[in-house]
Amino acid sequence: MKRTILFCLLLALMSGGPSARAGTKEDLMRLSADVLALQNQLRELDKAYGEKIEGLRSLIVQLNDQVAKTNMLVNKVSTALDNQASGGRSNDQALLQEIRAISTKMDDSATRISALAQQIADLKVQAKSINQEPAGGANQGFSADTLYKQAYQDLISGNFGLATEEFTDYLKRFPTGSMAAAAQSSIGEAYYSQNKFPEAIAAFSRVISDYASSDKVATALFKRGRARLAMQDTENAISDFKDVTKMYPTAPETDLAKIELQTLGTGANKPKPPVRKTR
Amino acid sequence: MSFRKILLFALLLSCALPVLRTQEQSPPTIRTNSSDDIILRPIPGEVIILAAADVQPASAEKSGELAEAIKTFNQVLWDDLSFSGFFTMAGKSFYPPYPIVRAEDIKYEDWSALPFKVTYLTAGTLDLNGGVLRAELRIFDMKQHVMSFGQRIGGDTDQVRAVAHRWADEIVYRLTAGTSMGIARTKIAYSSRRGNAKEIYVMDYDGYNQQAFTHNGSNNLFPNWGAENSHLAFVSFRTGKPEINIYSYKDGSRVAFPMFNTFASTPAISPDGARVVFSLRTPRGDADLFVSNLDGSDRRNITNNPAIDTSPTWAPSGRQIAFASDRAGGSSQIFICDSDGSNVQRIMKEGGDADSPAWSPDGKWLAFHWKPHLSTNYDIYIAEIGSGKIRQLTNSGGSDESPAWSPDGRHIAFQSNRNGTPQIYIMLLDGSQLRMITSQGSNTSPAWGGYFRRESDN
Amino acid sequence: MRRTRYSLVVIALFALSLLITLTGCHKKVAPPPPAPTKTETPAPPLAVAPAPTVSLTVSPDAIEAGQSTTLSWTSSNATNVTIDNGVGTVESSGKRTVSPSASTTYQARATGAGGNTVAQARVTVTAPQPAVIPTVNPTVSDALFFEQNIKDAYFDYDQYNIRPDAQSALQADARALNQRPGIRITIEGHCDERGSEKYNLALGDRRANAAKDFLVGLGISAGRVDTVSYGKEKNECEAHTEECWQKNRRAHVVMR
Repeated sequence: MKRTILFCLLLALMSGGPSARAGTKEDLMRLSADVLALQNQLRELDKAYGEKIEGLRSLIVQLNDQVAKTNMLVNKVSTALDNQASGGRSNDQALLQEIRAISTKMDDSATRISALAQQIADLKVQAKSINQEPAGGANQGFSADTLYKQAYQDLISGNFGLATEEFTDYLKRFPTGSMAAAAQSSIGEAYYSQNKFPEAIAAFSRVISDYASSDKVATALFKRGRARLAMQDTENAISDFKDVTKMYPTAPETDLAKIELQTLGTGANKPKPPVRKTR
Repeated sequence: MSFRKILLFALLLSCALPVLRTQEQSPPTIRTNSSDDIILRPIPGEVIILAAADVQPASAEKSGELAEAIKTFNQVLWDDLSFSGFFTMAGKSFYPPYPIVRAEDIKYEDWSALPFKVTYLTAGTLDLNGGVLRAELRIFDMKQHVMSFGQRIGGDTDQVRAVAHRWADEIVYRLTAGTSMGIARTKIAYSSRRGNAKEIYVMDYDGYNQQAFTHNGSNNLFPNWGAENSHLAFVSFRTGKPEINIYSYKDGSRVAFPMFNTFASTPAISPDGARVVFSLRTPRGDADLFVSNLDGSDRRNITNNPAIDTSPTWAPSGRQIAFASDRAGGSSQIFICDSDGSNVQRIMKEGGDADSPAWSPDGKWLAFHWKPHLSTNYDIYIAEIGSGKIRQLTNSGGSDESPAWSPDGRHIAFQSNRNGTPQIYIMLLDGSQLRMITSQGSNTSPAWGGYFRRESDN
Repeated sequence: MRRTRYSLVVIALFALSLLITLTGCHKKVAPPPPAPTKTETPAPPLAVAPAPTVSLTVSPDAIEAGQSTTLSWTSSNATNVTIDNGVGTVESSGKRTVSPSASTTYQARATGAGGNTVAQARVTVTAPQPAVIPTVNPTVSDALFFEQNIKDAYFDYDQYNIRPDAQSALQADARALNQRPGIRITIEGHCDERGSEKYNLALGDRRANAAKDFLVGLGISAGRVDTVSYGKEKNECEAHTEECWQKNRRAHVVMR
């Protein structure tokens, strides 16, 4: 669609005038190429943008302003073209200058976008020191404790992706470690916090199946129930909540489960899916 | 030059490149005007022999992508560490044949059997999972048999090089006891002709990741970095006349520097980032040096001389400026003056033709290019401030011009046409570790950026 | 919160595609040229309609062939205003630029319910001034004339002074420029490949200015001469010979 419009613009120019228009035509073609390139760059930026990066918000706003100003300029050029077509006198030079002004704006916008993209790329490389280990003795590389602590830190600071990696890592290395069940449960917790309910359900299910004798099963059952509720799987959610109350009557999760069952059981209120607010 | 010739050169170049990268050039014939030798390459108290064991995949699962990443990581780390000039790199053919991941994988008796004593060893793992690249890296003290320090570095899957650079910088910083910051993450801005226009590009110091900074289809020349890489200044013909353009490097916005519609060239931003010195045509018709604020206000003529004055560079103190001028009759020479233009002194007694002075980050040296009058090729020289001692740094068959200092003051970037079209080269000050880092098009006028202030460092 | 930032980027994308479509929409539904304002004067059956009035002026009233002038008119009590000699129906008051090739008397006629009335204005068109030196062939275009008569000036290595052969060239240029007062030029300063880029950009500027000063000294108006330096960025030839180097060390004159 854009190409048709630009083609029409070019046609209008060509039908209008003497051969001195050649420069204008080239400029317009360059302009259209620049605009397409700019759109591509914006798309790339959108892709890379993914995570939560605070300071770039104002830059995006400024970029929007620039695009709006460019919009106005292009409208002006368009009006100039209309006057041309209707027989009014319009200077070739003036039109060329308008187009040059637009090109300049586009160049500046392109420079801003690449600077932005550069900033984003820069921020993504994160480094953390590894603590000193005692010489000799526990030369395991990094101990199970350290790895778990690291992962837990990431979980509570909101680095859910990283936390999931680290907990998974822990489980690979120490499948029978003392914190294995907790690690698996934390993986479920991480997914849950990102509203990734199918993955959360899978993770919690593994706690229940692989670590059946651990003290994390009650929590896993309850949270799996909540995740199922979020997926509108009410029947299985109720089943989970009931299991908690049956198998772990003294666990704190049982009280919570009972409340859930009440809300579901009355049927008067539609059960509200527990949607977590994300940052 | 016909197209075929260019193609042939490019082919030859691509064959020659791996050779260039690994071999060290023999030191150039020294041309000094004094008998005492100038020590160019300060080395730490003792020689550090560094072994860089290949990083290993973090898990047993084999993935082509991970194998590629590991290969790249190992190569980049090796190149960065070699180029730093701080270490004698222990050849990998000597290492014991088994992979090293954890401290317990190191069998010290095997390492003691080597013909040299390795001081430090770096090793670690790399993992690619769910769109995230994770490296876990350690340096081991081979005398004390302990881990000295380690880092977990993460990034996107396409940031292997950046992660390797990060580790190289950490190694340099730690093993020089904090006296030197590594330059593996620095950038070089330059002017690149790939068609009809010369645009300003920015690339990693090793030539990778080339990104266009300008896109205006005209000639853009002589880039200059502001303090802490806050700005990029350069000359642009986008309006038809050479004008000074200053952009913020953080967000790419343009600083409102005035246009003169005559001749304005060679901008240099002061070390405190507040002022800029540049060459500007006067009503007389010659070019003088002017200093103004970054927005062009408070502009003063500091040379006011009917000769051509151009190519200014600031001393790191901000109190002196070096520049090129033909005021001494005929050809261009290097001069120094105070930042208000007073106290002009000439650097070299010899005649000849010199331009493009660059002040070293420690304030002690001026690099520039020079040639005896009427010969065709320039070479890179450095002059010691105060004593005036001169040292020749390059001696190729081609013309070597436009030197730029790395922020650690131990490396030089310059342009050279020794292999045909002008390309950017980097090397240690003593001429070793010479590398050609561009190959596409014609590349000139390098400017080496400073250290970035990074929040991601801890 | 992540969502709002996402939407900002989406807005940017949307705004960009909007500006493209907007120009299109703008183009497609371009309004016609402003229609003349028609004042509906309901004529009361018994009252007498006031007579229309019109006045017409042209300024300047004397021009050379090829130049243009502006017609200005006002009218009142008119439903229709026309101007002859190719202008046509116009709004009740306004301006129009015209470029007659010969002396013309323009007549504006205003018609209304109360009758009609005319006004006239005359513009005198004179032939262009004869050239000072009568050796001009009027059928040769400025561009062709330029190509045939304008020469470049050449310089010694590392110099910007106008040497004797350059003086002759510039004197010939001055004569040619006097013959064609409409021609405006840009002098480009160039250097050969051997010098340093930064210095050469300044040297090229010096050369261009030296050539300009010389021309101004011969009486050419400074406003007709612009200068720019290209240093060694735009070489005429690439060989590493003195012949080629000399070709590059030049003040190159181009028509603006």
